[in-house]
Amino acid sequence: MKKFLVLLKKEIRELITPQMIIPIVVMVVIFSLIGNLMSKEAKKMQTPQDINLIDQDQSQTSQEIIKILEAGNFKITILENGKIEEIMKNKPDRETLPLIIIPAGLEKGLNKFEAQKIAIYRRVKSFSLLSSIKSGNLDRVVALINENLSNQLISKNLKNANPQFLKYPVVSSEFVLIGANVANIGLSQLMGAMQSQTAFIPIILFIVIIMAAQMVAAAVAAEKENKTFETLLSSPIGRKTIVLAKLVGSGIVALLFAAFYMFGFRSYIQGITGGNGAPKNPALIEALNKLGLNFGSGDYILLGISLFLAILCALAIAIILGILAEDVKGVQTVITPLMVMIMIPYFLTLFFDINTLSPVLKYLVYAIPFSHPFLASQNILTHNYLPVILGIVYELVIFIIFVIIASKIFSSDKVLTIKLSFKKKKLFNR
Amino acid sequence: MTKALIVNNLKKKYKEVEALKGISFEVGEGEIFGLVGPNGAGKSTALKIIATILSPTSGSVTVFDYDIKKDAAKIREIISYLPEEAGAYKNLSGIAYLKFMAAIFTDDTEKQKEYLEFAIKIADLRSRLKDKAKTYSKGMTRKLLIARTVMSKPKLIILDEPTSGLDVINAYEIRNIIRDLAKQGMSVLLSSHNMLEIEFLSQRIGIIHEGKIHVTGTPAELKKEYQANNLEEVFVKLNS
Repeated sequence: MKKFLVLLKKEIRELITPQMIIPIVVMVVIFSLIGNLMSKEAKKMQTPQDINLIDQDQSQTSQEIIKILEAGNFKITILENGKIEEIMKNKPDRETLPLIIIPAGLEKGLNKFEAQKIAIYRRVKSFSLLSSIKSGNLDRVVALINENLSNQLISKNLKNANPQFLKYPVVSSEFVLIGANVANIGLSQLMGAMQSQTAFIPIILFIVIIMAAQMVAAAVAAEKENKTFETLLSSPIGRKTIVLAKLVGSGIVALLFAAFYMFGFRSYIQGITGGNGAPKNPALIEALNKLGLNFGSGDYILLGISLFLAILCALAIAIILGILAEDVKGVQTVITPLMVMIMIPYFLTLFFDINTLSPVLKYLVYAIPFSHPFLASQNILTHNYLPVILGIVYELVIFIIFVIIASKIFSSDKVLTIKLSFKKKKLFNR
Repeated sequence: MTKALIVNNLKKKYKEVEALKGISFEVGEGEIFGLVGPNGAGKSTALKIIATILSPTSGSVTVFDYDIKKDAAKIREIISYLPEEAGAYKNLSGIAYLKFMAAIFTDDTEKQKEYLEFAIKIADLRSRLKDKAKTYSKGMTRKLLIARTVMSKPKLIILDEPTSGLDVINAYEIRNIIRDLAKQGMSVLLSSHNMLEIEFLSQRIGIIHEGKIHVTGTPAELKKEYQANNLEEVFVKLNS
């Protein structure tokens, strides 16, 4: 045990280097900055949006429209009427755009039940997500005017009529079922809430598993390259102890870095959602509670076990792949199949429901040990515990099998003699 | 008299390649035995088998009466091996590396201190021991590794090309260290393709070529037998 701890300490000291820490700290800082930026932009969007307006109609209805927009969180600046091109040319963008023009004859046209056109001018400076959100905000102008004007037109033309009823005679009352639980909530609202809470889980799983695998494979390859491995193998220390120290050391460091990433992602999510991602709408909270869509402490333990075993599986496979690498440079090549194996469940669970895939694809996903923590987070939320437990058992079996294989390789000549050769075979024997 | 090492008809095959074709030799207690031969002769394979990191295809190896196949763990406690062109852990300082290796050799903290003191004396790197091993020159790294190899005063030291790639001064210092260690009673098995170095260091030598030991004896015996001025001439005459 003492020698295991000595080796473990050495593994951790070798892994935690400035070269390893700096990119992670930079990443966490970048995530926090992006989160902060998003938060500021989101706040900016909540403040009244400036709109310039030219009222060519000068009617009671056009005045009504201005009031509707002001009530709808728009700050209106009225511009003098004139040729649009001249106005744009003579004044800077911030004094003219975005611009809404209420055309002359709008009121008369509406009274004749003729649809009217309101012109909206806006300048496009980029095609980023935030600029499109801002544009979307401006689209609200027409929706707001329509909603209010149609109510007024109905009230004016049909006495005693309820405009809401006439516009929406049928409304939906959506119910969602999970297991035996039922809640009165829209599916899209529920999906949005769940995604904001769980979106970061697969990303963290993906990063942690890949990072752990890379670390252990590089550690083994570095030992081979520096021939420190030969020294260790000829020292009075068990081969299993060497394997175990490498697995545990890389696992601890990977979990440590995962905590850093979690912190970074949390700041990022907080920036986007303005909170920790948890819903604030009381009706939504009630629906989530009714459906049992909350992680309890037992659920977190199950997810943690599944994740830890997936990391151990990745480490056990990566340690074998590290042996195949001739040097540290070769690690990326030998580890590629493992990365693909991790990417498959990551992307599939991101876009599909695994249970609806074709049987071949479904069982292929189940056969990959790294699929199970991805699937576990979804299954736990839907109280489907049997696949989670079976997944954990499967991961444990795979881990034991690969540890046995790794120990056998470490106890044989293969630890020094096997390597992947990419040299072309001779076409002709001399 | 107990033999430090007995190698008998040792063979090693890597797939189609037969690296060792049945070599036999012995090393006495406190003796420096040199295995000399060109690159690819099978020296490193033989040393790795004796250091318990490769298994023999056939034949036997006993180290102080322990059999390499049955008692590998016991052998690891009394030997120390320095691979050719080995490095230290790059992110550990020289002193941290020596402390780590002392803790690998023994759990006893008093003994660890004793090993460390001895290694610091042998390495003779003074204040540079506090620096990370990745900042060391080749000569400094080799001295650190020699210190690591002998720190536990093993009964058998196995050195693969101990001065390979070193400048004259560093090679000279390391040769002197090896001679001093043998005087302290440690047995040394060393390999080199540098015949003059082997002649200078070894009491007895074995000339190995293409997986076979062609002849063993003291340098003087071999030079006399082959009427040569040095071991290089012996080797050339053996292969002509």
